[in-house]
Parts: sequence; C-alpha cells; structure tokens
Amino acid sequence: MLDTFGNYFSQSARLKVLVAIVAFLVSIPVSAAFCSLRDPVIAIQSLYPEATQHRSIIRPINQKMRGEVAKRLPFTIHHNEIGKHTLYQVLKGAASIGFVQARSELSEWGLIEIAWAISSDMKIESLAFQRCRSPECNDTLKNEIEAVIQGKSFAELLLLVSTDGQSLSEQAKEVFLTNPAMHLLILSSALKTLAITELAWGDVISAQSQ
Amino acid sequence: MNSADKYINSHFLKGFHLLSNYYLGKRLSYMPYKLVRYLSCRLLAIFFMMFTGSCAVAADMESRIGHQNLTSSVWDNSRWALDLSSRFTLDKNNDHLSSQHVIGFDFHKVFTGKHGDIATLVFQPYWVRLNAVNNPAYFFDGGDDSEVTWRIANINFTGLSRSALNFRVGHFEVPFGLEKNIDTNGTLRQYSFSDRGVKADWGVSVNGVLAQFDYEVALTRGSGNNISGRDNPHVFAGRIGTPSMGNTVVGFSWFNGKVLAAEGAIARKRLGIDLVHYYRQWEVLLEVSGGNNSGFDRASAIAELSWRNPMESLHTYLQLRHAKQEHSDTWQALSSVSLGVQWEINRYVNVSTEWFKELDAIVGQEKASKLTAQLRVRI
Repeated sequence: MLDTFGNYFSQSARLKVLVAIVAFLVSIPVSAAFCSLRDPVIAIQSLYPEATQHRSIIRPINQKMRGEVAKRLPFTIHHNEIGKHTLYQVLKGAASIGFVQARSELSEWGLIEIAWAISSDMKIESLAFQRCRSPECNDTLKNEIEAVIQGKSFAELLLLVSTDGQSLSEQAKEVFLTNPAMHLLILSSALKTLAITELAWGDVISAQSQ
Repeated sequence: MNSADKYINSHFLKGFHLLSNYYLGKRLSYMPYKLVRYLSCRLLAIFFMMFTGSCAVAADMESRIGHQNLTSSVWDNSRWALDLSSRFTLDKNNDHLSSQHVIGFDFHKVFTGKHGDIATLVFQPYWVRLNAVNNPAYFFDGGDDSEVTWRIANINFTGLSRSALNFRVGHFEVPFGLEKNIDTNGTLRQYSFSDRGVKADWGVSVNGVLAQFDYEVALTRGSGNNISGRDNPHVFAGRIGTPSMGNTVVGFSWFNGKVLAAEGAIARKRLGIDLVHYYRQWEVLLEVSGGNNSGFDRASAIAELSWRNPMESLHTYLQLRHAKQEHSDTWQALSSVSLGVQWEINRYVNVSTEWFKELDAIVGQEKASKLTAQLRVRI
C-alpha cells in the first residue's frame, strides 16, 4: 500500500517537474530553427566558377549585432539567427576573389536559402538559390534580380525598399513589374547579408580590400 | 612534441591497440579491415591529441592557420551544443511503457588553412540510458542499461579537390537511400536502416559533391556502435544521386556485407532507388530496395508524404512501409503505417510524437501498435 502510494507520489511529482520544465521551455519565443548553408560547394561553384578552394570563417552573430542591423535597416534578422554562422572566403589559388554567405528568409511556402556572392568592396555580385521549394525560384527570377542589384552597395540597395521596409520603393517598382513580394524578400535578404557581413566579418573583408 | 606528450600519445595508442585487438579478435583476415582499424586508431588519436592541444598534426594545422594560441584554435571555427532528450514508448498491445534518456555532446569544427578548408570534424558522443526497453541494440546489456554511444564521429578531408573527392574516416551513416541526405539522428522519424540492420558504422569512405551529382562509397566494419570483429562483419555500401539541393532528388544505392546483431552477423545484400520531391510545403519520399538476407530474398519499400507550415516549425508525416521476406518454403509480407508530428517550439526545444501500427504480422503474433513521444532540448 505504502509502496503503491510512494510510487504514485513519485510519478505525480515527476510529472509536475516535467510539466514545469516544459512550461519554462515553451515560454521561450516560438520559432523554427533556421538552417545554415547546408552545402556551400555547389553554390560556390555556381557563383565563382573560377574558384579553386574556399575557407570557412565561422563567427558568432549576437543580440547586439541584431540590434545594430535594426539601426541600419527598417527590419532585422530573425532572433533564431542568433548563433554561429559561416562566411566562405573564395580563393583562386592563393588569391581571394570574393565571399559567399547564405541566408534563410521566411516565405509563404517555407524557408528560402539564398547564397550571396559579395565582393571585397562589399557589393553584391550575384546570387544562387540554395533551397527553395517553389517553382518561382528559377533562372528567370534570378537573372531579373541580378540585372538590377549586381555591383550595388548597401546604400544603393537600401534605395530599392520603402522607408518602412514593407514594400518596394517607387524606384524598384519601375524595374520589378511582377511578383513584388518575392523581389522584396530577396532585396531584404541582400541588405541583411551585407549588414551582418560587415558587422561580423568586417575585419576579414577590410583585410582583403587593402 | 615534448616528451610528456610523446608518453601520453604513445600510451594512448598502445591502449587503443590493445582494446581494438580485443574487440576485433583473431579474424582480421582482410586487408581493408586492417586499414579500417588503423584509420580508426588514427582518428581517435587525433580526437585525443586535439583536446590535449599538443600534437604534431595540430601544430601543423596551427602553423597553417597562422594563429598564436593553440588552445583557442581548437574552438575557432567550431560549433558545439548539448543535446538532451527523453523518449517514452507505449506498447499498446502489452500496455508496456519503456523510455530512453540521452545526453549528448555535439561538436563541429572546420579545419582551415591559408589555402582553404582542410577537413571537417563532427564529434558526437552520446550517453544513453534505457529503461524497460524490449529488444535493445546488441551492445546494451539488456533493456535496463546505460552506454556511451556514437552518433557521428568522423573527420572528412575536404581540401583535396574542391570537395569533388573527399576522404572520411570514423563513425558515419552508412550511405544508402533516403538516410544519406535527410538527418534522422535523434528523431522519431526514421527510414529504412532497420531493413539493413545498421545506421551508422565505423569505417572509411570517399565522397564528393559535384554540380551534376553527389556520391559516397564506404567500407565499414559492420558492427555499428562498437568496433567488433565477432563473426567478421563488414559492409561495402554506396549511393550516387542528383544534387541534394534540388527540388527533385533521385539516388541509386547498394549495400553488401555482414551486419553484426545479437545472434551473430547476418549477410545482407541490397540494391535501392530513392526519390524525393519537394513542392512548396509538401514533400514526397520513396525508397524501393531488393536483395537478400543470408540467401533468402527480400524486397521492401517505404513511402512518405509530409507537410510543413510556412515557418517550418511544424512537420507532420505519414509513412507506409511494405516488405516481403522469403523463408524456406513461403513468403511473408510485413506492412506498417506511421503517423508523426514534430513541433519545433523554439530554437532550443522540440517535441515529437509518432503512432506506429503494423498492418500485417507473423502468423500467431499480434499486430504491434506503439505510441512514442519525445522531448528534445539542444542548448
């Protein structure tokens, strides 16, 4: 009898502890885990066909950097992106020819991972869809975007989104005639990529540009 | 390397050689297995020496990296996490509850030099506690036992040819079918490894990623978590497939070897085709394989339909499995269905549950029906 009661009490106490732990963990803001660049090789080969190797430079992205991005842009990175991220320095022989970073963006059909090619003077060179579950992420869209943003700096790209970051700017609407939501998503990704790259890997980029 | 380091390293290697000789036994008759053992020794030595921070390999790496502080270089370019989980399984037919509790360390590091990345290390030792588990893996001493297990523990040398030809050594997933590209370590959602009897194994592989296809070909010990020479197990397996980043991925796999189980090594041969198609939030997966177990033919198939919400925090799936196994005078069909839900509550916590039901059963046996739930925390 006492054993039964003891077992019951023990199970009941364990259940309460478990419920308390789960309640605490659930109280952390809800969101999905973001994927990092899963397979940089194909993206790097596509963005820099002349590359012979690449170097991974893993750095932490912290809450302070997230705040810094919010100061520079009308939006910021997702809080799930706090953590370690990789910048790929692309090499041709011993020479650095550019950088690649991948970012995940939320879309209505899941996460889109875009790999961005960045020059040593911090301009967008090109992009590759690393993961996109929609047929809309095709070469036509990629070429259309690249034709507008290739060679643009952070300040120039910022002119393509509205002040509140919720839509394309009037300038961008003139060139992106269809699918404004997708174009805005890709432009946001480019802006966040340049901002984070400068904040977390600015010293690496500066060393190459000198 | 100073004399103390030499002492530590030589004794460590001697100790491991003694252990491996004990486990591998007397029947290392094939040269490749000697190679596997040699490379496994070297891999463990690298792990050990990396954490003591005083080996020639690390020193060479350090000079290539150009950093000043060796200890900090161990943690540079690395990620680590603690992985904690508790899983409860209710066998509804027998009203039997079992559980499994896991504490793991997950370490990932990219060794890089001035001329590019050299190798990627993944090191995941996990302590596993079983409570009242029926039919545990052979390396547990029963269903109420604890063991240190290895999920993934390997080093992949990637710096040779733009990742077109890499060399992996250590403990890794045996390349076959859907398991190759989809991470199912520590999740309730699983594919067909139980059909072949081994998920991850100690050995060596060549692997690569090219614009047109990716591949991995492996030679492994065939004993899973432990390196054991009992019954001389071994596996030669591989998969070649279209790039895994695409929305439609097709692969061809083979598996040939003897896989160690509690009752001894079982010869298994398989050829398989896998297909994955993603469309927006939907995912369709299919794997079909055929071959034999100890000379008796076997065919099996698994199909899955799954859906994720736009945030990808919620994942639901429905799996159907079917297998036909030849016996001495008859064929036996086995079918089952699984329905699962995985919820990523936040970036640290996920909960998942799966209901499993057998649709066919061995004559005279009840059709199994199980409900499993898991809480997993990664910090």
